[in-house]
Amino acid sequence: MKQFYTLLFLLITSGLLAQDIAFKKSNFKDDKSGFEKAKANMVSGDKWLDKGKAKVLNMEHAANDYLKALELYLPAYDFNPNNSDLNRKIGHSYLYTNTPYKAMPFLKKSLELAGDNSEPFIYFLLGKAFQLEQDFEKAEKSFLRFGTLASDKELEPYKKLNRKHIKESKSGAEIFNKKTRVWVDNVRELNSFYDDIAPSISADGLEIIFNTNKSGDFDIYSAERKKRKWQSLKSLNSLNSNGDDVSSSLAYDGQRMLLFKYNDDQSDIYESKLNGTEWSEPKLKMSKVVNTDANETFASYDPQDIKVYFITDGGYGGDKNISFSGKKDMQEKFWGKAQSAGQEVNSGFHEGSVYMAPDGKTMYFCSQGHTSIGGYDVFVSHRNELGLWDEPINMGYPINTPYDELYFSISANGKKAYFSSNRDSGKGGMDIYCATFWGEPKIPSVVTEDNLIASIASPVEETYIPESVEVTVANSLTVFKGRILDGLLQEPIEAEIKIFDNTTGDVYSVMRSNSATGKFLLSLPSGLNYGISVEAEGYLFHSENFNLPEGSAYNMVNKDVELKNINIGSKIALRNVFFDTGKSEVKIDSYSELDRLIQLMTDIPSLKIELSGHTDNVGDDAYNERLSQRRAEAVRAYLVSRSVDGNRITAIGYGASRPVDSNDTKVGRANNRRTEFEITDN
Amino acid sequence: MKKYFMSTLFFVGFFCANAQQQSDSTLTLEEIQFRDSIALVNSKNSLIQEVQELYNSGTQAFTSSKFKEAIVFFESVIILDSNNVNAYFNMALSHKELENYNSAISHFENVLSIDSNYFDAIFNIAKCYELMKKNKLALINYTRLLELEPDRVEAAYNKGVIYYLQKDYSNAIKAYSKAIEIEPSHAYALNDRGSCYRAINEYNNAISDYLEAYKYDPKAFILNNLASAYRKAGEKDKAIEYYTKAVQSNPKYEISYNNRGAVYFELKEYDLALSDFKKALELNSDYAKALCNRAAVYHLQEHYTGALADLNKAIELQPNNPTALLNRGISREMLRDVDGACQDWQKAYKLGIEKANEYYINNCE
Repeated sequence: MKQFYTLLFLLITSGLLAQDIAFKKSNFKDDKSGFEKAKANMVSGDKWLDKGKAKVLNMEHAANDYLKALELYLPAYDFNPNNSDLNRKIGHSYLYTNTPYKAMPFLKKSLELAGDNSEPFIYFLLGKAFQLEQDFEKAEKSFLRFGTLASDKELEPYKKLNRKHIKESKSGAEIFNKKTRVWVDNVRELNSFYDDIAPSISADGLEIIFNTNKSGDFDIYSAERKKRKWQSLKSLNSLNSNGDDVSSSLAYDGQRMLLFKYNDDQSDIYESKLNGTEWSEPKLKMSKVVNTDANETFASYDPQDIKVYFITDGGYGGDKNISFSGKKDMQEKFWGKAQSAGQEVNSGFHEGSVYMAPDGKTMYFCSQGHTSIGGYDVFVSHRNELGLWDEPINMGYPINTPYDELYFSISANGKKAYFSSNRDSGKGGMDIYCATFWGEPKIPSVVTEDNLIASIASPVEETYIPESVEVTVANSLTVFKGRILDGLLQEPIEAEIKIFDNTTGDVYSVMRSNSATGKFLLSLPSGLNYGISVEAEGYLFHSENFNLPEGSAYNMVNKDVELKNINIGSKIALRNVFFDTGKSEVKIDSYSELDRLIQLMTDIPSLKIELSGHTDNVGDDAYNERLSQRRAEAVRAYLVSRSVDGNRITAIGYGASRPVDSNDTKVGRANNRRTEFEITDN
Repeated sequence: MKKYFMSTLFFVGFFCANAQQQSDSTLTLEEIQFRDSIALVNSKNSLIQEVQELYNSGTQAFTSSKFKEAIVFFESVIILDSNNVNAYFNMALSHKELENYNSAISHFENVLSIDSNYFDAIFNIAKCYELMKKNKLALINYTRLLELEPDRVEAAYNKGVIYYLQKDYSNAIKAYSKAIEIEPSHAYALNDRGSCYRAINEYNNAISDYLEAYKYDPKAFILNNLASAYRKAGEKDKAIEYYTKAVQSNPKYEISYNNRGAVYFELKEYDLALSDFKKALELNSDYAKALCNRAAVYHLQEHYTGALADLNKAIELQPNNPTALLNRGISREMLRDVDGACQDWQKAYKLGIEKANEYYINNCE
């Protein structure tokens, strides 16, 4: 409340800056004729204003009267825009035309100019203007202020209206806080600068009829719904006459329509039927029992096609109310007398249109009463189990506004509805609007996710790693064979043989050579260095090292070891020392054996020998003795000639005195013919 | 192992020795025999070494994931040692890794023909069939393995997985129960059996199994499943409690943030839901489900353009996400894009969402 008075204060104080210029001669000395003309306009305008006021108070349509008033006031305003009364009257007039939103600036200016001297009625008008601007709190306060400031005489005719507007403001405040699940769109493809009213759609929503007064009178038009747009707009010429022809309802199947026409300023309800593509000449619907001398206008079929609901001002009190009539025969010659649809739907104010939904249980109608938030509002009422209409429900914002909403019709699926409104967003006058109902809220779904299978959610890694094997390095074996021989005589010796792995020093193998052949044979891994030691009694110890190279599977290494006989007293026959019979020259083929003796003596420098010659018993002993001496010396000479110290060699011929075999046989005698040496020192 | 490397070598060595014998006539008979025996040993050792080295090259290649190379090595081993069961096994595994499942199975069968107790081969045959989606054959082989090796828990578990994926929850429960009988602390089997019970709406059993699984392995996904079971059972407070534990266990587990958000959404705690969906998207900006869900909150908050942006991205990521399509249709309708909404609902219906058809019929036709 405090804010409201602050606003008024601001309006008033700002008004101090402007001066209220009265329509007095003295104020317009320089333009007397202009003054006179403006004054005349004011006077004439007031007459229309008064007519309009009377109609408003009588709840009648007064737009035309106010428009005429405006035609006169607006030139006067051009002459003197700073007159409080004129501004109020212009604002007042606009409020009851199809452009009521134009009222507020004039009303505010009137208040500014008059200040404390303002007529209390300005608050009634401001209340209406605030209401249109959906500022219901200020609207209610304005109406209350009007009720407080106006004299009883002034208030009396407006009491009912003022109460109504206070109620509307309260309803408005409440309804605007509720969200209605609907979109409302201006159907621009149908609307014009003029009044476009009473849209009615077929049950499937694909056909529409409506009315426009762009030619001066109301004519009936139709259009078809294609690709979510109304197309093929056309005037239904067969229905349109020179006067007003107003369709009010299309049958659900689109094959018939109800309309009303005026005869002698009195309207009746007609029906036209679609023959092919042409609408038939309208015929009076229902009888004169229904179509009385009063005005029967907007009508609606009943889905069962038994009744017709319509608006008539022929009822009690002259208000426009909803009535219905039922046919008494199938030929529709007889109709029952119109009956009121009931006090549940008929308010103490006008009902402007009615539409029966295809379910037969739902009535949409437009009314200035009930819980209207200003002007006509759309209401819905449902027939209860007793067959009575339930309390009407305001269809809410944004279908309803403080402006007029009228002629509501809805598709069979309840998704789309059409109606007319003069709200401040149209092309001009009344426009056709489409309401798209959202229906029950569509709740978006949420999605969840679970990892229900553990091995998929968190796979166990297969960490199989094949195991390597330890590689057995194939040191191939070499066949190691050989003989152990007397180094001088090349005779086989049985000896102990030890093989060492020189890498580790370990004994790898121990064996003995064959006593008869001197042979040994073993297998050794190839590719290693080995040591070999050979020991035999009476022979010098022998050791050496050797490599066995990597080889093929069939690698074989031969190694003969010669041992040296070094025992004092050992006598060794040199069987391969040869002489010609009776001679003492050493034959060449003796050298290889003698060379081995030379090698032995070279290897062992301390060695001393006695060389002895021997014969068989053939011939005389002296001869044999001399021959054997010469032969021993010949051998000595050969050794000396090969760098062997002669002091280490003694040469003696023994003749036949020391036989080693029988002289009776040839073989025995051959064995007895020999050269020997005996180790005398080592 | 070593025995597999000695199998075929004698014959090769003997043959070579004979060949050599014929070419050498200077040796005595005994020497020839000794030499040939040594030659035989040399041949055998050389072959063993070669086989072992090839085998190890194969395992090295396998470990380095060079499976084709590994196959070549193992094949070489098998040429020299045709009964080398490990080479067959590893070659089969290499084929399996290369997804040559038929070859893998064939080689695993070779393993079994050499060594019928090589049970890993049976396990892998089953696994190959499982990977080939030949579930019947996979099940036969897992069953065969369990008959031979009754304590092979992986076989029982894998049987359970196959039955679960076939939606044969009764047999899946039996298989998982067998795995749990073998290893009572087998958290995965417990988890999965819980999922079976969940699938047949036995939420109390599901919760019990998940709790047991959680005892042995407190992984985030198990906690998440437990929370979801509570959610399904209508215990939303418990669900929130365990989703929270899941994200505490793994703060990067976006699934549980998304799921907890969904519970908040169901409880009409839209601010908390939004916070969770945002967190899930912070962890994974391409998480289509969280995008879809954040859009749901935006939609209810009448932030339709925000919802549409999220849904557009979700559908870009998952063009056939039916929920995203359904929701985008709803948001598009509120943005007055009726044609777009109708297209989305039509597609969502084709993807199995019945509600989308209802919306289409009521709003598009």
